[in-house]
Amino acid sequence: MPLNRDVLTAGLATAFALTLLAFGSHLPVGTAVRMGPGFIPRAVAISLLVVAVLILIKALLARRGLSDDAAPEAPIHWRGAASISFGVLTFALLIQPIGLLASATATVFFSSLAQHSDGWTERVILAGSLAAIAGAVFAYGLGLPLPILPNFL
Amino acid sequence: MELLGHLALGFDVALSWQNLLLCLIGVLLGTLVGVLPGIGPATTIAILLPVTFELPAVGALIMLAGIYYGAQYGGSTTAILVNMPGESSGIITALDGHQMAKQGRAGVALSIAAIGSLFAGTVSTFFIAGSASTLSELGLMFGPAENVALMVLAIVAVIVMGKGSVLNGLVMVLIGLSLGLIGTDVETSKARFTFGIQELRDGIDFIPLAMGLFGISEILRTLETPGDSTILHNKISGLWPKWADLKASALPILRGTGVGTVLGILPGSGTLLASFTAYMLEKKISRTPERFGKGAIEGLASPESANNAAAQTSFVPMLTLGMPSGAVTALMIGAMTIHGISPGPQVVTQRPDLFWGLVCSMWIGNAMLLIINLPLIAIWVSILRIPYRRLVPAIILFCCIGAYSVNNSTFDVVVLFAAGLFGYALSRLDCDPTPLLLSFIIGPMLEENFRRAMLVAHGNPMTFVEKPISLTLLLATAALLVVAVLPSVRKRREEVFVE
Repeated sequence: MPLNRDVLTAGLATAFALTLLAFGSHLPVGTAVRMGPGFIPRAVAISLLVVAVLILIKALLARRGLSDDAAPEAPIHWRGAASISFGVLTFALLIQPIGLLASATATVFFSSLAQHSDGWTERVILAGSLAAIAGAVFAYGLGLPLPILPNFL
Repeated sequence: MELLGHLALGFDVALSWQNLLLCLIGVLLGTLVGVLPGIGPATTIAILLPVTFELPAVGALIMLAGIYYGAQYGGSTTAILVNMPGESSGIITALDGHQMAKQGRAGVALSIAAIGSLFAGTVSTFFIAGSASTLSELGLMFGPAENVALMVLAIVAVIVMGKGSVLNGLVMVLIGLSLGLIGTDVETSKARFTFGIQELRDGIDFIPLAMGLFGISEILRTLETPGDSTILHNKISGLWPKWADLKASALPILRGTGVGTVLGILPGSGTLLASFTAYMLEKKISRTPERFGKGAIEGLASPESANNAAAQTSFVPMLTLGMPSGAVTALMIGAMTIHGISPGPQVVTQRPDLFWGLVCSMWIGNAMLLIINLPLIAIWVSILRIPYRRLVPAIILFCCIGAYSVNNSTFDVVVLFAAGLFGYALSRLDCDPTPLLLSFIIGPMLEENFRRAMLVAHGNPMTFVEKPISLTLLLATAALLVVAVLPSVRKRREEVFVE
């Protein structure tokens, strides 16, 4: 549905514009000679609103002229988005308290849930071995200052 | 003679054992990641950027250039072998390249692609060396008003040449500018849009942003295509082309190089326009156009050369004017800024070692592709045999570690997560994130130059059209926009992307 998608894009632009206007209202615009920190945010916000309106107009015009013959799109991969997001956030949460090895194992395990697999053993082995490789390559090989083990050990 | 002196300096830098090694590692890593189906050069660079942090500036840029060429070659390999190009110009490569592979000539296709790329790389290296000084002298005449006009041109060009509708591109640019506003205002030190979050005072870091927008969202996008993508079944044999193959591709390589060298300089055009034009040219002048799409070697040799030549000359505006011409050069500019180099015309004179070293290592990177990478083709092919379900978690973990190690900050990992989901949402909305990243990177420079230009002109906005260089650039921008909106051109543009 092209109309739907255009509405969403216009909505996204409007959301950004409103955020800029709401959270930038205290920033002084300044004068033309000496612009304040609020000038560009307001200019960007107004342009976003203008483009949003243009997108809606275009969508309405296109809708009148054409029937819906767009190819159906692949469905949103919720499973992938959820498990990968969970994996990344787990890493953010765990890396400092419990170190690279444990957090990498968890991250790999959760992100592997994005796809079907031959079973739990495969996921666990994959998680463990990738964490070990990551520890060897990044912490020892490249010498990045990453905590390896939990800091209470 | 000045040219030879420059090149001598460049090779002196690039051939130090350390930089040579970095270039080699870059090429290998770039191919390794670039060969993964669906992952293009910009994504590869975004994923691998953190690897280059600890290095000195010259070494980091040389390694990044190596990564870029490796990624391009890896992408061609995937396009030829399994018909899954990671970037738009790979689609053209796949047209005849994959047909050749199906006919059992994959080895020939791969080596012709490498030979064509090396030739194109050699020519365009000399071209860059010859044109760089002139262009950077022009760049030194630029004041704030001209800089603003140039950046506007760069942004509009990326929208017009990119895929998707112009309006969506504009939304992406404006969102990129908004995200670039986050942080402390340079002139007044006022915090803007930090929402009280301490980590946002320095702004969003571009690396987790780019990794999320390109890396994570690309992976989510590939997950949508069902089926496990172990894909490769037939064996690769006969790597070296026969004399007849070489003869048949000699002229196409020459033509492709010419087309690519010229089109690559145009801002925003990237490599797609070059390979597409080269392909169409070959088809047009061929006496047997019906062979195209069925494994014609000209249809592979010419666009692959054009692709590589354009990839190389697209560095010209970035190196001499500090203007990115696409996602890849925008990432390179971001990397330069991290190392404390402000990109622009002064780089050539102030850091000749960096400039010429980078130019020469581009050529060395191309040579490495042919000498080292091609014999390793069995390894790259074996990567294509790894099931995708094992690669995805590995890439995710790599992105997490990379994002974290930029500043040793968990906040950057959260940015990675948010940017990944946002990028996936954008791709569902048919919005290409390239203009977003580009304007995010040059946004702060744009604002600074704009405010300075207005200050210099005593608040008179006419300054942008009164200066001849600035006026020319703005007229070019307007012309581009008008052309893009014209119905006839729009139709053609759509055809290009459908093919």
